[in-house]
Amino acid sequence: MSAVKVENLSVTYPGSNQPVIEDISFEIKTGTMVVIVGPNGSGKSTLIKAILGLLPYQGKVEWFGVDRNKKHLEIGYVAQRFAIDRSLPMTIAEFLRMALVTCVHKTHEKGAMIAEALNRVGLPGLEHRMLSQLSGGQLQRLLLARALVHQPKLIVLDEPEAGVDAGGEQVFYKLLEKLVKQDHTTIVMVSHELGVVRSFADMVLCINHSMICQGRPDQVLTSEVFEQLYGTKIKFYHHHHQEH
Amino acid sequence: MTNLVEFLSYPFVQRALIGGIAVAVVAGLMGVFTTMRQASFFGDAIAHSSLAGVALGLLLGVNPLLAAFVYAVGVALILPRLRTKTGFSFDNLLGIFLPMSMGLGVVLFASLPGYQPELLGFLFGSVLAMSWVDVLLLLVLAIIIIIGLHLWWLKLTLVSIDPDYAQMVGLSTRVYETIYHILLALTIVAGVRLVGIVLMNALLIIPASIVKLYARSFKSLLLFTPLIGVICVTTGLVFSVQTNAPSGAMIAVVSGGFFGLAVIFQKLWFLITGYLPASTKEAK
Repeated sequence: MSAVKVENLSVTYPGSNQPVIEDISFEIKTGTMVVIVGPNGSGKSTLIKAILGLLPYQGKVEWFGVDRNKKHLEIGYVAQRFAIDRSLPMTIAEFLRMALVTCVHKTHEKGAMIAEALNRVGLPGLEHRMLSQLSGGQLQRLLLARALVHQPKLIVLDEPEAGVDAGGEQVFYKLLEKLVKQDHTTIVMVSHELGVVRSFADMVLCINHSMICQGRPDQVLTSEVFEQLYGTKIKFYHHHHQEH
Repeated sequence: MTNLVEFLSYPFVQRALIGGIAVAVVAGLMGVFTTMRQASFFGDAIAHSSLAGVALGLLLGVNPLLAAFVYAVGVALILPRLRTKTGFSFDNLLGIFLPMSMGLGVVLFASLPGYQPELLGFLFGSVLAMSWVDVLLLLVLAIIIIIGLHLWWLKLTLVSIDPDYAQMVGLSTRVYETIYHILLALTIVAGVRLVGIVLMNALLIIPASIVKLYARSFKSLLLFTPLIGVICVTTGLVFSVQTNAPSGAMIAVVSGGFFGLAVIFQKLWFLITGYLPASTKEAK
């Protein structure tokens, strides 16, 4: 069964007659990692927001064979920029409890769900740490923990590497890889990191207002495609990805 | 001590203190949400615009506070929609709406027959002239706001700091935005008698800003902000009676003074211990 099925998706912002994305169709298999690439302003974030139901769209979006409106809790979401006021005194537990605000679980069950999500992202026992005390990489993992707290089958991430150093990035992508391989979670991610795309993605979608190409990274990531996407030639050097 | 007992025995002081404490509690609580949304200027615009509501009420023979509430809710709901529809920045719209509504209020006041001594009271507060009916109305407003916040504080928090995620977990951002704006308008109307339209933002913003310097959790922020608000209001009222100064202005001055002291103490703490007491401490 496919995790996400998108047919003829178009989005036009109010007051404009030029669509930001037009006639996009693709299908994502469960338990795979799919990366969306494209230049700035090509409509990647718009595509993500439309398939999450955060923007009005024309076309059809299905999650696990059902219309997206009935599925909101089975999807985890990590936004591109989370502009929280760092001076807001809030603990990690309080932050994650907010994500469970519509759940009917008892307080101690919610506590267990929060502890489990923090464990999975490598931040165990930090429930009482304040948000202002987290580094950029830890904050990103906390946002992933929030996406995981409902134990979703699908996680959507929009440029999660923004504001994270190289070391933090590697930890983060290893976490995502583990989620796909061990828990068969489906991951859809927007990324500019071509190395990440080559190392971790099962499928790549190239977007520039419409679908330029889609397929396995080795099929899609060619100099010709990148010239079409970014207007400049990129030379790829192939080397084997080393497993740890 | 005798002075204090004598001070508290005056009915006008009793009314001012009861009403002042009620407003301080709800303004403190709503201030937590307003500062969290980084919408201090928005609170100010809503407060200022309610002057037109007060004047309209007096012109039409309707209770001015009720008219101010309706007007303030209207502005609070229309402004965000105007931003979406027109594409103007929020800052720009507030900058236009604030002086326009205030000007409209003054023009309407000028069109009322005879001298209008109430204008100054609405602008800068007239807490010492409050009646027991005013106090009762304030208490009812405060109870409504506290019940609303008790029911929805967690949802309002999520919608305030991350509306996209709120939508993802199935909350209607439009519903909770409306609830926030109605509660904010109620709070401002409740505060008009105490500090007035011009100084209302002091009670909304300063107590939460003081507690943010020291709080170590969101719950402690919610708990201590009303308390600090009450300390600001009661101290301001005492100084106001003792110096014969206008109460609203004195409350604003005292609140600002407490904020200054809180910042100085925080810096001293940093100099002595090498780290900040709460939230601004960064991870190493």
